[in-house]
Parts: sequence; structure tokens; C-alpha cells
Amino acid sequence: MAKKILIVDDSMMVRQMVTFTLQEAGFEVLEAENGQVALDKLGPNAVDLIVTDLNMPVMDGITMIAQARQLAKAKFIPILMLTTESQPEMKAKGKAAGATGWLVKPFDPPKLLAVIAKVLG
Amino acid sequence: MDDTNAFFQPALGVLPETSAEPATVASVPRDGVTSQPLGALSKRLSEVNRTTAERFMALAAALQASAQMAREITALSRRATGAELNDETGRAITLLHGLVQKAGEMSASLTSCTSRFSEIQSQLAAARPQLEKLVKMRALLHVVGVLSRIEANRIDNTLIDLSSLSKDIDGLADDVERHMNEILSKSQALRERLTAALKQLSSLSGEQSTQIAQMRQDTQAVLAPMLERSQAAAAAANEINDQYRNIQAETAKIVMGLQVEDIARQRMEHVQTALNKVDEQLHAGVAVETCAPILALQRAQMESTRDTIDEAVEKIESGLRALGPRVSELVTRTRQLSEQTRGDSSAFAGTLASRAQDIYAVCDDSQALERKTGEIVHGMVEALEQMMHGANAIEEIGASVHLVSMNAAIKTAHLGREGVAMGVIAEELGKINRNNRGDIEQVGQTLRSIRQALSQVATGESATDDTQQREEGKTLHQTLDGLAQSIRTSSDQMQTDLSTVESTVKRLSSELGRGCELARQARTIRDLFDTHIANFDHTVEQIGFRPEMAAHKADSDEAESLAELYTMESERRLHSQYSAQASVALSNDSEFGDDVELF
Repeated sequence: MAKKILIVDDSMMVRQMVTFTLQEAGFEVLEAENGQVALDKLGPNAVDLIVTDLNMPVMDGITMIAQARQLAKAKFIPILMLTTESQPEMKAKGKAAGATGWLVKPFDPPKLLAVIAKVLG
Repeated sequence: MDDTNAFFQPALGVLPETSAEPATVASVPRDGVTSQPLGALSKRLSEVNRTTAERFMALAAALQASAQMAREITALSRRATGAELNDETGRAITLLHGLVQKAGEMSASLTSCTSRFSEIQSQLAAARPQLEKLVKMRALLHVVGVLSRIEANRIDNTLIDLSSLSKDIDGLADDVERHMNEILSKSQALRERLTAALKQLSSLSGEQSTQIAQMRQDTQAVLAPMLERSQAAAAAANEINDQYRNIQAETAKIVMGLQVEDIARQRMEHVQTALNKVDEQLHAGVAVETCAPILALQRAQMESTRDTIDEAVEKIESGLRALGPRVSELVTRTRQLSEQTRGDSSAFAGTLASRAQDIYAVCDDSQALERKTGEIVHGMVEALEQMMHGANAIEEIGASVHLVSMNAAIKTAHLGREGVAMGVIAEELGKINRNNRGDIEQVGQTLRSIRQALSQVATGESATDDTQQREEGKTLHQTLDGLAQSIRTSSDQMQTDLSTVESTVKRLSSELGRGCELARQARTIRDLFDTHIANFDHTVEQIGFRPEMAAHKADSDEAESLAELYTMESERRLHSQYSAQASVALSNDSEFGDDVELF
């Protein structure tokens, strides 16, 4: 059964490119345009991994991660941040909130897939 | 984002004096849209984002359509080279190898059976002298019986019953005669059966050798070319996968280029925010000179964003152009590989179907042979069982002789002086017992050993399930037949697939052409930026900005609050050129490079 990944980003282009890359590799993909929509989608759906942007309207990535970690079904899901941000302070915030890893945009498809393969084991 | 109002504190005595009066908002011509010219400029910059998004989304659609067609072409290519038959071929190869192995096992089983029978034959031959000696026991018992009867008649002693002793001895003699005759006859029958069985097994062995040789020949006739085809198909599949990876490498570059749309949008939003803030400051009476470094920075950000987009579009166009030749390489190779595969497909399929029938027939014959062997073994087991009855009886007789001899000895003792003659008879009985006990035990042991050996052979034969063998033969036949059919179908399909590949390549070529045209159109984003930058230059000139005003760098407080807008290193690097704030260096030990970190 294909692994399911949730991509959270306010940019349609980024969502499209991540979906394109992941579907080529055989993953099933869900999309959300901000942190709140992502949490809403986590309710009825079981996902194996989340890839999220940092800066989004309505709810940003770090807030989303902190809230997701309170949910039983998302407590241990790997969550990767995919963002233009690369400051150590921001990474520390992400890590403290519960992020599993950090990728800086623009992502290289083979690298993204390698990281996902690593965190999914 | 944090309010950056703190940044907009008027800088005192920092700027060089200019000849012109510091520009104020009141002296700036209204553009009819808003009294804040930079705000209006900021609004118009949204057009850049919209246009960039439209152009890039069109390119993304072209990429996705092209990638879909490339995937279709690759899947068809795999099929056109016979790669998809590999699993089926693999199963057939496994079954054939299994068949060859089983043939070897059957041969070993028959050899073992023959060898056991020969051993049994030797054991029976070795037991013959003992059996013949036991036959003589009957005569001895008969003589002793007569003598004991004579003595019993002679001795007139009503207290001791000697006639029953005579009867016992006579009975023993009769039993020995009966059982030994039976054993001898059964032993003879067993020997004859063994001889016949060994002859049959020898003949079956010859038959089996022929069958195995035939099976090996039939198997080899298909196994070798099958392995060759399987390896060729696997190599073809690997080649096609490599070609597809080359295609994916090009699409990966396009994917990276397309993401610049999001990056550019964010940068321009930051520029818009900064311009709005400057506009508010100017409206509040802050001098243009104070805001000059920030304005210069925003211009630089716009130029940098323009160049980044330009670079991305070039990368995208280059990627789209490269896809065509990559796909062409794949298709060329597919044609060649398909030709090689199709070449002998029909002949091979025919050979496979014919050999499948032959192998099935041999399996059938082999199964019949196995059955015959089983019958021979079971016949032997039955014969031996019958002989064992006699052997058990002999062992009992041996025990009885011992008892009778003891009885005679006891009666002799009771008779006292009268029993001297009876004593001789008792002694003779004891001798018979002693002389024959060893042989009786030996015969019993020999027969038990033979029974065990036969039982092992019988067990071995039982383990070879007729039904299972038949089913395996059927499965192999069906598999080979199915594979032959698949090869024929696949061969016919190849031509269709190649035609579909050609037509898909044409569509892909058209799509890539369209994509390249879209990329050329996307280059006009540069012109759009240039227009807005020119507009920016005009607007800031109107409000009193002069380039020399940007000579000084924004001070650290101002710079820090502006820097909070930024989310990208590229923005911060540019920012550091216009401010006293140093950019922060990053270090990363990730195996994936600077842009990835796993916690």
C-alpha cells in the first residue's frame, strides 16, 4: 500500500511540485494550503509523513506542528519543514515544536525523496 | 510579521547636505490613485507576481503533461522489449530447475531401492544354512519323540505322566516341520520375488535413465534460451530505467526552476511591505534622505528577483529542450531492443509449446514408473510379512523346546533310578535346544533386519506422492504453455506498442515545443520588472530621492527591524550590503548538503 504524505504550503506552485515529485515516486499525496486546513485533514486521514512550509496565513507551520503533536495520530509522524528560511533560531523553534527535519527551498527532487526515504525508514 | 515602525526613526546629521529641499509628500505629484506614491507603486508590483504566477503555472502544466507522456513512453518501452514477461519467465525457469532436481532425486531413490533389495537378497542367502539346519531339528525331535514314547511305555509309574512328554515332543516336531516348511517355501518365494524385483528394477532403471535423459534434453532445449532471453530482458529493463532516470534528472531541474515563482513572490511581497512602510514614514514627515538606503535596497531586491526569475526561466527552458533528446534516446534504444526480442520470439514460442508437451509426457511416464516401483516394494513387504509369521512361530518353538527339555529333566529327576534312560532323552532335548537356539535367534534377527530395510524403502516410496507429481507436471506444462502464449501475444503487441510510442513521442514533441514557447514568453517577465523598476526610479525621483543619498548604509537599529521581514538568505545577503548588520553564517553537517538538516 502506498505511503501517504500531506503537503502544507500556501503556494500552489510548491504544492504542485511536491505532489508531482512524490507521485512520480509512488506516494499518495494530500494537500493543504495552511496549518489549519492541515489539522482539519489530519482528522479523518491517516498520513505517514507531513511536509510543511513555515510562513503561511491563518496558521503557520510551527504552530501547526505544535498542535499536531498533541493529536494521538500525529504524535509520532515525521514532519519535515520545507521553507525558504534557514536561520538557526528558526530551525531551533521548529525542532522545539516537534519538527523532524528542515529543508530549504527550492528543493531538489532526488534530495527530497532521499530525506523522505530516510525518515520513513 | 513584526511591526517595523521602530525602523523609521529620523536619522539626524547622517546624510550629506543636498542642494534640493528634502522631498515631502506634499510636493509629489498625485498619480490619481493614492496620495502615497510608493503605496501605489507597491500595489502595481502585484501585477508582477500575478504575471509570474500565470507564466510559471503554464510552464508547470507543460511539465506535468510532458512528464506524463514520458512515463507512458517508458512503460510502453518496457513492454515493447519484453521486460514485463520476466516474472513469468522466472517462474518457468524455477519450475524447470525443480524438475531437473527432482529427476535426480528419483534416480537416486531407485538406485537406493535396488541397492537395498540386493542387500536383502544377500541376507536371505546368508540365512539359508541356518534355515536348513533348523529343518533337521524336526528329524531329531521326531527321534527323541519315538524314544520317549518307548521309554514311557516301559516305565510303569502312575505318579509321573511320561506320555504327555512324548506328546509334547511329537507336537514340537510337527510344529517345526510345519513352520519350517512354511518358512522355507516363503523364503524361496521371497528369493524368487527378489530376483524378479531386481530384474524389474534394473529394467525400470534403464527406462528411468532414458526418461531422465529425455527430460534433461527437453528442459535444456528451453532452459538455455529462456535464461538468455530473461537476462536480455532484464538488461533491457535496466537500460530503459537508466534512460528514464536521465529524463527524471531533466524534469528535476525544471521542478527546481518552477519553485522560484514562490520565492520571487515572497521577495516581492517583502518589497511591497517595505515600500508601504517607507510611504507611511514619508507621509508622517520623515525626510527622503533617511529612507534612501532602504529605497535603494528595495530596488536592488527587485533587480535581484528579476535576475533570479530570468535564471529560473532559462533553466526551465533548457530542461524542456533537453527532454526531447533524452526521450529520443529512449525511443531509439527501445526500437533496437524490441527488434532483438521480436526476432526469434515466434520460433521460441513454438519450441516452448512443443517441449512443454514433451516434458509433460515424460513426467507422466516417470509417474507411471514411480508407481511400478512402489508396487514392487509393497509386494516385497507383503511377502516378507508372511514369512515373519513363520519366523515368529520358530522363535516360539525354540522357547517350547527349552520348556519341554526342562520338563523332561524334571521328570527324569522325579523318576530317580528308573529315569536313567529318560535322562538321556532329556539330555538330548537339551542338546537340541542349545544347538538350535543360536540359529533361531539369528534367523529371527535377520528377518527383522530385512523387514526394517524394506520398511525404509516403502516409506521412501510412499513419500513420493503420485498425485503431487502429477500436479507438478501439470503446473509446469501450463506454465510453459502460458509463457509460450504470452511470448506470442507480447510479440504481436510489440508492434502496436512501438506505434503508440511513436505517436506519443509526436505529442510530447509538440508539448515540449509549446513549453519552450511558454518559456520564451516567460522571459518577458524581465521586461515587466524593468518597467516597474523604471517606474520605481521615476517615482522615487519625484519624491526627491537621489542615488547619492544611498551612499550611507542604514544604521543597525533600522536595519534590524527591516531584516525581520526577510525569510531568505538571498534577501539577507543583499540587505547586508546596505546595512551595517553582518549576515549570519550557517554551518550544517547533514549528509544531504547545506539545505537539509535532520534533527
